[in-house]
Amino acid sequence: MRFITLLFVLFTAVAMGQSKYTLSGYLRDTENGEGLIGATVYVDEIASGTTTNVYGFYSISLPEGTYTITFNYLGFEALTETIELKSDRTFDMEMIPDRELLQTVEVTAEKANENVSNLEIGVERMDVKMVKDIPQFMGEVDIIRSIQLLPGVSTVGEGATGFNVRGGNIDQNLILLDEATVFNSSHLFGFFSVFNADAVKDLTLYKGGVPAKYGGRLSSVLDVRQKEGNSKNFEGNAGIGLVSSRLMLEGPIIKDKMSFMVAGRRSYGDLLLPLFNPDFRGDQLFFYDVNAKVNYKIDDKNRLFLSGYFGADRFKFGDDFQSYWGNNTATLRWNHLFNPRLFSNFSAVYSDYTYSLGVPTGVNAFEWEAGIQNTALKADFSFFPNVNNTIEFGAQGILYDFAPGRAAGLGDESIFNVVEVQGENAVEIAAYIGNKQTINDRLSIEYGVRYSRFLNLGNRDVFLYDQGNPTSDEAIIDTVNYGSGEVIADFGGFEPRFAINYTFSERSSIKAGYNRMRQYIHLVSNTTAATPLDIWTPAGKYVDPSIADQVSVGYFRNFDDNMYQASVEVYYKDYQNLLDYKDNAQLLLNDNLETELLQGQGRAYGLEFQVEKVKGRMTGWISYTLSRSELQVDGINRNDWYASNYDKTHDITVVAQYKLNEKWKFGGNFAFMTGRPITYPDSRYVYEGIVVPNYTNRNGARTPTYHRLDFSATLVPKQKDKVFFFFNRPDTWESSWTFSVYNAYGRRNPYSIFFRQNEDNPTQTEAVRLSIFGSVIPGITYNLKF
Amino acid sequence: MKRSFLKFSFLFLAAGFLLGSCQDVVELDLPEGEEFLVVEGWITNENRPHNVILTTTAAYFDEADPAPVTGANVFIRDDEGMETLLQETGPGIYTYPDSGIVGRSYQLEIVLDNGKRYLSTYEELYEPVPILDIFWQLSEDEPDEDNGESPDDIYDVLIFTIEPVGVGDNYRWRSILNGEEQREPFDLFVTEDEFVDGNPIPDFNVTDDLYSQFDTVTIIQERISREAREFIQLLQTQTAFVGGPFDPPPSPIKGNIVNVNDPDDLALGFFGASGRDRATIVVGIE
Repeated sequence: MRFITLLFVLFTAVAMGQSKYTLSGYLRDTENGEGLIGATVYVDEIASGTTTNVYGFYSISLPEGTYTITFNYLGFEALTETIELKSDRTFDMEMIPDRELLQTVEVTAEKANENVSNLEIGVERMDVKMVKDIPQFMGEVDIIRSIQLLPGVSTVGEGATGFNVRGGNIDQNLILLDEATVFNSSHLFGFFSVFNADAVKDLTLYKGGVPAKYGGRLSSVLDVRQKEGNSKNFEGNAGIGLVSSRLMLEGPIIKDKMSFMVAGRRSYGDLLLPLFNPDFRGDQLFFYDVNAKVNYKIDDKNRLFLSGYFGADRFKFGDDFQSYWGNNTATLRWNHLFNPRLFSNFSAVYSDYTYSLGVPTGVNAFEWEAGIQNTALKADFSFFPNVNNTIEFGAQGILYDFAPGRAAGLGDESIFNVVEVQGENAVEIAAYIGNKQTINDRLSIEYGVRYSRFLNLGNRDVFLYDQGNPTSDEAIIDTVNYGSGEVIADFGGFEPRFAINYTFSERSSIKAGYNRMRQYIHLVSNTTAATPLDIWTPAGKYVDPSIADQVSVGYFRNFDDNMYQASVEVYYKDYQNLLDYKDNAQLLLNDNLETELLQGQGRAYGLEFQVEKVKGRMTGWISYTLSRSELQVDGINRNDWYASNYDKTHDITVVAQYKLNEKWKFGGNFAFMTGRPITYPDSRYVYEGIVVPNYTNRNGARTPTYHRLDFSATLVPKQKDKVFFFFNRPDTWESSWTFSVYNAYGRRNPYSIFFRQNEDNPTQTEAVRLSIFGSVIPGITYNLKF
Repeated sequence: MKRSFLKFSFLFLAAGFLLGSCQDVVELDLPEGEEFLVVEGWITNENRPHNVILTTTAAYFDEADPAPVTGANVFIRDDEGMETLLQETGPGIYTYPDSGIVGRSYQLEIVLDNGKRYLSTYEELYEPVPILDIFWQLSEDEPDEDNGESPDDIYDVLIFTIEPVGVGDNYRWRSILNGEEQREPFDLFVTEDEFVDGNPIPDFNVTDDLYSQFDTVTIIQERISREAREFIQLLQTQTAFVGGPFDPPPSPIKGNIVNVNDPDDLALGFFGASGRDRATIVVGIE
C-alpha cells in the first residue's frame, strides 16, 4: 500500500509541475449507450492524441488554449469540436454510427491505421459482429472456434477443448470474462464454447506483448467483455439454431443511468434425440448458459457494474452414467475518477469450476466430484500525466481453493467407499506498473514490470520423499502436517514487459516486444485433448511454477488508404518447468500426484504473416503461420526433444466475407495445415495372445494434412416476413436467416491414427484413421432482432 | 469406477458419431525399430506346470507368429533359495514343473545363448481371495441382434466375493468360455481395492461378455502385485483405448525384466506371480 501512496505523491508532483489542464470524458455509441473501446481523440494543434480505455474513458492534458479535437471511431461519423481549455474540463461524446457507410460496405477495424501506430504486437481484436459473419459449425456462433482462424492460434483437433497459442498448451491461456477467470471454455467437450456471442461486446487476444496488468498464464490472455446493456432503448435478440436457442434482452432501468443485459442459451440434444431413438427418453444431454450484467452510473465520477456468468453441461444416460461440469463467475466493478487524470477501477471477482462424474444407481453407484474456486480483489489505475505518457498501475490478490477430487458410493447398495484427495489452498498476489510513452512522432515505447508471488498454504498433509525426490509411492518416508495458513511453498519474481514502435510513416512501422510470464497453476491432463474433468493443481512443494520468455518482432504496413493491413511477426518463446507425465500416469484421485509428474523445458518459435482487408464489400484475411513447438523432459522419449501435441509446421487460413447487397451476405473459410504429431509404433510383440505395438519415438510422426472449407450465407429479408410464420413482425424488427456448410467437401480429416489388431484375424495388425467429422455438416439459424 | 471414466471417451465419440465421425483402415509405411526380447510367464498356486515363453519383437505389420527364442537358460528361484532350471519343452517355451507356494516370492533369470543375462524383480505369490459364489442371470443389456444375439438368450455371469480388509490389494480376472481363455484387449480386467476395501462385492460382473444358454464359463480371480496390475492396465490402455481424444499418449510398456549389465536394455513383457481361485458354471442350468 505504501508503494501506491508513493506513486500518488509522485504523480501529483508530475501533474503540479506544469500548468496544464485536463480534458476528459466518455465516448459512447449514441444508439445504445455502450462505451466505445479504443476510439481515438486527436488534437490537431499538437498533432497527437489518445485512445479510450475499455470503459470508453479518455483523458488528455494540455496547456491552456483553444484546440480542435477530432473524435474518431471506425464505422462512426467523425466529430470535430473546438474546445477552449481554461480549466479541467469534462467532455462526454455520443457518437453516431455512419449508416450510409455501413449500408454499402463492411468495416472491421476500429481506426484506420491504429494497427500501424499503436504499441500492440501479437494482439488481435475481433469484432463480435464480424464473428457472426464467419461460417460457423452447425450455425452456432462460436468465439473460441473463430479465434482459431487467427494466425498463431490452433487446436489439437476438431471438438477439442480450448485453443493453443503460439505453441502453448491450453492451460497457458488466461481466459477472462468481465475479469473473471473461466477455467473451461468449452461446452460438449469442445464442440462448442461457453461464450454466447449475443452477450459479448468486445474481445482481445494477446498472443505476445502482454501488458503488465495481465499475468498468471504463459501464452496468452483472452479478454472478453460482456455488453453493458443498452441505456437508451429496450432491445432484444433471439435465435433458433440446430444446436441451441438463444434470447438476449437489454435496456435501460433508469434511462442513461442504469441499464441491464441478460442472455440465455440452451442446447436441446436431449429433446431432439428421443424423436430419432426412443432409447434416449429420460436421458440428459444439454448445455446452457446465462449471462447477466447491470450497470449503474452513480454520478459522473462513479459507476458500478455487476456481471455474472452461469453455464454448465449435463449428461445422464439411463442408470449407467452421468456427468456434469460448469463455470460460475461473478464480477463487481467500481469505476472511480479520482480526478480527471486518474481513472481507477476496483473489482471483486469470484469464479468457480466444478465437475462430476458417476453412476447414478445400483451396486456400482458412485459420484466423483472435483473443482477449483478463486476469489480475487483487484485495483487498477490509469494515470494520464500528459499527452505523451499513460501510466497504468495496480495490484491484485487471488485466493485459490483446489478440490482435486472426492469419490463416494451412492445409496445403500453401492460397493464403493469414500476416497478423498486432500484439497489445496493458495494465494497469488501481484502488483504492476507500466508506462506508455510517446518519445517523438516516430518512436513510442511501453515498459512495465509486474511482480507476482504465490504461496501454497496449509492446512494440509504433505508427503516427504526419500532424498526429496517424489519418484514413487514407495519413496514416501514421512508425512508432515502444515497448519492452516502455514506456508508450504513460496514462489515469486518479476515479470518485465516491453514494447517499442518505430513508425516509418502513417502506413508502416516496425514493432518489437518482450515479455516474461509466470504461471503458478497447471491443468493436469495427459490426453491428446484435455477433458472437462481434468484437474487443476497449484505449484507447491514438488511442482515448480512455469516461466515463459517471449520476444517478438513485427513489421506492419497498410496499403490503399488503409484498406489493406499487412503484418509479419516472428516470435521465439523459451519455457521453463513445463509439466509432462510419466508413462501410464494415474492422475485421478491420486493423493501423491507429484510422483506422476515430470517437469522439463520447452521452446516455440514461428513466423506469422497476415493480410487483412478491413473495408469494402469484401472483407477478411489471409494468414500463414510457420511454427515449431517442442519439449524436452527427462524421462520421456529417452530425454530427447520431441514435438508437442499442438506443433503445426504450416497453417494457412483464408477468411472472407462478401456483402452482395442489403439482402445477402456470404462468408467463406478455408484452412490448410500440417497434421498434428502422433506416435507410430516401430515394432510389435505378443503377450498372452494380444498383439502389442511397441512405441519408442514420442510424437515422431504426423497425421496427414488437414484442410477444410466452410461456407455461409446470410439472408436479411427486405419484405416484411412473418416471424415463425405466425404473426407479422413490426417494422423495427429485423430478422435474418443464416445457412452454413461446415467441411463443405466432406473431407475426412484425421483426428488421429491408431493401431490395433484386426477384429477377424487377431494376428493381423492395422493402422486406423479416426475422423471426428466424416461428412459435410450443414447448419441453419434464424435470428430476430427487436 | 475406472470403467466409468473410460466411458467418457465413448461419450465423446458418440457425440462425434452424430456428426459423422468415422474410422478407416489406412496403408502406412512404418519405420522398423530395434529388436527386443519379450517375456511372458506367470507362476500361480495352481497345481500344474507353468510355462515361460520367450519371443522377440517384429516389424509392426509383420503377420507371422513371433519368433521364439530358443536355447536360453531359464531359471526360476524363490526367496528361500530354491532354484530350478526350466526345461525347453517347445521352441521358446520353458517349463517349470511345479506349482508356486503361497507366501514365497519368485524371480526369473534368463541367460540367452549370446550371453545376455536378464533378471526379473521378485514377485510375491499372494494368498488367493476365494470366489464365494458364481451365478448367471438374464442380462439387461441390449442384445447385439446383428450378431445373432436374442434378448432371451443373453446372460451375465456374476460372482460374489469379499475383499479382505486392508488397502493395497490388486486383482486380475480371466474368463474361460467353453474351454478357451478370452484373450483380447477388452477382456483384460484388473483393479485395486482402494475404493472397495473390506467390502462384500455382490453381483460382480468381471467379464462384460454376454453368454448363451449351455455355455460353460470359468472365472479365475487372481491376486497379483501392484506392478503386475499396472502392467496389465497399461497393456490394455495401449491396445484397447487408443486413438481417441481422451486416450493417453502411446508409450512403451515397461515390464519388470532388465538386462543386468545394461539397464537401458529392457526386456518387454512381465513375469508375475498370482494367487488364484477359480469357479465354473454352466449358463442356464439351475
